[in-house]
Amino acid sequence: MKEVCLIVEWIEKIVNFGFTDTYSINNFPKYMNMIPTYIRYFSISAIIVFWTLQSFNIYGQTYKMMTPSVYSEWNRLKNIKISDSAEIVMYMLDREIGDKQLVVYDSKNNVSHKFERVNKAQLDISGNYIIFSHGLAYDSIRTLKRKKTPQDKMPLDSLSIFNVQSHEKITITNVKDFSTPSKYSGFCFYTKIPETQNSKDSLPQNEKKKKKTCDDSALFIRNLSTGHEDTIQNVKDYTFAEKSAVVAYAQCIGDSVAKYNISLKYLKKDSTVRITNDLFEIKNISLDSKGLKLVFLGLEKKSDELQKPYNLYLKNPNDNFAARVSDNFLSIPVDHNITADKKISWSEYDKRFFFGIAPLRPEKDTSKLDDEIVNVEIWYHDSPRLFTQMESTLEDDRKKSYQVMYDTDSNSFDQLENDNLERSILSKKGDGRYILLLKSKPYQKAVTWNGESLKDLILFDTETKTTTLISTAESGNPVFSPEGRFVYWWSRPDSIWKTFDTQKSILSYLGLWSISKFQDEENDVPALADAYGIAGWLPGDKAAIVYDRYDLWSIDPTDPFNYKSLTNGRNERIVNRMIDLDKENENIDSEEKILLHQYNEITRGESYSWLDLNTGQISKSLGGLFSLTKNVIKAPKNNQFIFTKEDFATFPDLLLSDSDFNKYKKISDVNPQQKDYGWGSAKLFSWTNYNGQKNDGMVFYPPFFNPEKKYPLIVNFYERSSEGIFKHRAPEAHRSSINYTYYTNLGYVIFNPDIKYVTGQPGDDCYNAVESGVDALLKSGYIDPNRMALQGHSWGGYQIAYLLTKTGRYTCAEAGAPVVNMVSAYGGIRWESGMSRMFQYEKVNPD
Amino acid sequence: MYHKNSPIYELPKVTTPVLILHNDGDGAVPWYQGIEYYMALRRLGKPAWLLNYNGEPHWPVKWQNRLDFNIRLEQFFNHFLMDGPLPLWMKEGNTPIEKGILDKY
Repeated sequence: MKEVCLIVEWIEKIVNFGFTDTYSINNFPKYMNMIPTYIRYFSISAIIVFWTLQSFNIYGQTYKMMTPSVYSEWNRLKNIKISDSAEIVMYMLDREIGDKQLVVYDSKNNVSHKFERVNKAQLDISGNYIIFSHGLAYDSIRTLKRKKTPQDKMPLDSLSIFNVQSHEKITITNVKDFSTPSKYSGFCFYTKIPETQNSKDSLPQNEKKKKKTCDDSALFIRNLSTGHEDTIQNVKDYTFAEKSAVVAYAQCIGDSVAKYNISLKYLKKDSTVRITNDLFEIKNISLDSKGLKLVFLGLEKKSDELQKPYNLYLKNPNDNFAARVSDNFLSIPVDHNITADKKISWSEYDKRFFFGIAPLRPEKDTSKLDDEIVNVEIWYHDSPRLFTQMESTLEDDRKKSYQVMYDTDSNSFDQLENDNLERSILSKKGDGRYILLLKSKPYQKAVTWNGESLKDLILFDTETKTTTLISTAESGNPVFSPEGRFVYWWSRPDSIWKTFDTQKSILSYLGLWSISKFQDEENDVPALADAYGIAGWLPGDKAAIVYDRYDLWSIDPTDPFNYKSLTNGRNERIVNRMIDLDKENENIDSEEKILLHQYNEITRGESYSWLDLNTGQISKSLGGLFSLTKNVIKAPKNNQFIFTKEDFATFPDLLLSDSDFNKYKKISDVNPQQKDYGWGSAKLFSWTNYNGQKNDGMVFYPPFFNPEKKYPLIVNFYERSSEGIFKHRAPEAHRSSINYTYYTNLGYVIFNPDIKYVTGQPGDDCYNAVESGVDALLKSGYIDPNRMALQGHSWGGYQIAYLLTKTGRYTCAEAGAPVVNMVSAYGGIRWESGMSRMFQYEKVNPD
Repeated sequence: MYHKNSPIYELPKVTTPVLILHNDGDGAVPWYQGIEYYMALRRLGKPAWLLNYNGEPHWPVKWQNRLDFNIRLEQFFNHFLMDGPLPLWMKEGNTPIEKGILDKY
């Protein structure tokens, strides 16, 4: 009955608008926009009278047309986490505006628990507890903001701890922040101002106004299973060890001047050890992974300097005190300080830690008035970086530091970086013998027109303390193989993977004599081709697993003739890629099966297969005409997996399965409202372009599409996009592109043609693909040739501006951020990075 | 080659109404490109609109601006392709006095 009323109202609107004279069955969709958004809800059973779609047998069904309100109605999936053995899957639902929701899926009992207004959530890895903070509703925050409530007067979040088994929930109010260890279970840390000190009203007026020497915040350490809490007052900073239940904290004391003590608390033994007393400042507390060694920066005298002269302190495993080790750092250059701007990090096995030093920078003359200060930029022709580039990184450059390594076995310092050696790259997560140093300054000026900075590669041997020049003027991003034997990088000028063998001191190539090549075969932009990438290395750095366009190749870096293909995708045009299920392990475990993500270039369908490296056997699991995520999440301790599967009409909800992905179970329902709306469909479309070549594209059709009718068309494109035919395009207010779901729902057909480029004529290449495609589409008969438009952004915007100078057949066009003048664009600046735009234009010849 | 590929030299041939989006905070394509486009079309007497979301980068990022852009885009296409009404902003643009106060949808 509601629908009938709406239809009546809708017809009234049309009458009121005075359109009844031209009203007819065929142009029904044209009037959609006449209808105020609140009555765009209508009944198919009524429309069927006009639309003659009996073959769909949709009597009695209703669907909603979309209005801009859908943009904030759709939920997005975020922060997906799984417990050790997949007992719990936790995720957040987030929208454009409004409150965030936490969902906790209990796989044993197959139930989901929902929590409202959640801002941050963590999982105890046992899967027994969920710890999350939650705040005011969106509307309440909005009201406070409208009252101009200052940020420090806004209410703090509450913290809740939910017991997944008993469904018991404990809530603690006014919590500043919280965290939980990711490698062991049973504890939660949070900070808040203890309630007893909150009752300020009882204090005399002068007490209230007096600035406190120490912050009131206390650290609370909660044992999740017993519920026991330790409270440590006036904690300025704390940290906990990654793999062991040890906490280090800095506690503030003092009446008129703040001083700090550092203590270590062993949670399992419930004992506390005072490490140091009475420091004037403490920064960058860092525990090694086992909680045995502690390092931090501190001051023994009060300092008002902007770049404070920090000391470095280290507590060794058997000591109960921290020694001032920076006294032994005799090689620190003059006018350099240890800086708090770089966090202190430990190597994987806690052998070394890394900290930063920084040169003293010029400080402002505070005696000058503002109108006495000259602000002038001096652009020098031979400066390594453009002034604008330096300006865009100003904040980072103010905090720039040079990395120094401290070795806890030899108690020695090695300064790795300086003004000339800008970057150091570690091996074996910091424990390796070799460290690679990069020198790029001599090549930085040429970035203005090359786009990429070349560098010299220098190898530092931490045992002999010597450096060796490996190679000069190399491109790419050199890194170490997992066990540290090889440095490897992609050389764009040579289109090959280069390696340096640190054992034999030999510069070489990966797969020099292999039958395949590893650079982008389809590269058609004015830049040298990139590589398809490296999946990883086999244990012992025995072989690199390298991608070509379709396959995985196992290549022995020491023998140019020893290579083999692990997959055979090229004949059937199937692109095989490895899914990394254990991101912490840098090696590819040759005993475990490898999960492959496979994309079929012909059908665009995707599949998962298991590859057994020992037998070479590939066994297909799930596959078909849909898209599968490459971001599969494995439960750390068993073979349970979370993945998503999608197509134009199917939202990628979370699916849980064992290693046979066909037996999945859908465990989320992120957008249940989707079923109410009319949904379009997507199809691949191929034609012969003006060069006589087969050209592909995508066409998106409105719900209940009828090829006998004439539809308005919007053509939207960038470069090549048809790989995304099975992508789900949930309604969203996109920053630059029309939303295909929304526009098909409104009654438009959308066409997205693939464009291939040859050298020096991108405008004509676009014309060739787009215009031939629209010709082919017009032949189908269902497009109204008088109602066609173009829409595109950036590179798409440029191409639209170009097309409009060659054809007048489009009714209208939107071009976002288009380049229209390549001469002035060449001389412009990319203001975000401060880069000159030259590099985008100079390399017009791919050879 | 730059001339051959640059639309600016061929704009007298344009017969299609164009909506341009180019923000003054664009850090990738300087918004002077959008200005050159708009100015040339205006000088040649061709229908053109330029949307500039103040301070936004290469594309509108803030939610209220993205929503506004999508509403205007829909109105623009509906007007030309589905005989929808001419919204006031397309009829007359807006003025600095109206900016931030009247949406003129």
